[in-house]
Amino acid sequence: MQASAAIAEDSEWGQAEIGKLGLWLFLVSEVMLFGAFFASYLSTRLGNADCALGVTVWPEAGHLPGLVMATVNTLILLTSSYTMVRAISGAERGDRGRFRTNLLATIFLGAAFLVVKTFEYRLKISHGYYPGSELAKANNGLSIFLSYYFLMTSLHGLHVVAGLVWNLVVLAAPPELPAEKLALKAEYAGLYWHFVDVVWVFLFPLFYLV
Amino acid sequence: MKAEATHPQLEDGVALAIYLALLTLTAATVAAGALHEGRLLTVSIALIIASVKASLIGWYFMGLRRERALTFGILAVGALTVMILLVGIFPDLTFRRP
Repeated sequence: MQASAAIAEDSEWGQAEIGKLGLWLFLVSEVMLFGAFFASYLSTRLGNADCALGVTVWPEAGHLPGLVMATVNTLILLTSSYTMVRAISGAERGDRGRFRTNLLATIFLGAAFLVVKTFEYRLKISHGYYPGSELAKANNGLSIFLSYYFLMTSLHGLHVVAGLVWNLVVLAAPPELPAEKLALKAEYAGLYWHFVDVVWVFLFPLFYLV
Repeated sequence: MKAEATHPQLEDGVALAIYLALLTLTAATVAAGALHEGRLLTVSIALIIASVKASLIGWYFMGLRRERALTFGILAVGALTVMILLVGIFPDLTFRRP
């Protein structure tokens, strides 16, 4: 009796839920990827007096403009998550106009994040804040910190690019696609986009504020 | 048969409230970063706020509140792995040479 009940419960798993479960599995692998880097970064800064955690490592010159850019980027990504939610609800309601407008806004904001990031990298490089620079060679702690900074923020940037491509694919969905299928496609893309936002939520304080 | 639109999984008002909460918490993070009340306190506050923000995004925007137990089990495996990585590195810090 119990076995048949379990089978009946299993049959409740629709194609959409199985797809979402697969996506969650993929996101967990991403959690492990970023988690490994975060663990390594935290332990390095905890165990190194030159770039001790809790003290801003960035030298004074150019720090404030860099912090402003990172804060703006945080607001951009949070807003893009909100527009993504609105795009998904538009697709769920069968409101194509709302779906397209908000997904376009999400894509625009994602691109804006990358533009601001590029300006921030330019600022850092202009001050000699990159691994291998004369400044970094003279300061081991700064050198280690910069290696992590460029590695993790560029890895995150690649994820933003992947999210943008995914969003563009969903945007290009044919108009005859049923609302339910469009909503599901949007929800999958949204899950990934929100994950990229979550990663930035941790990168921001750990690389700019402490 | 015409495909019907489904009911939205997150109401507009709730989504807006979460978004505003996230903006407020971002302001709190920046303010906490400006504190000079001690390393451990500053880092702890920043990480707690980041965790709250991530939870809000996960629970509401990613729809975790509607997910089945199996999804939470999968996420727990990821969280456990990251915890093992974090905790596993600490002995290296404790026993390192000065």
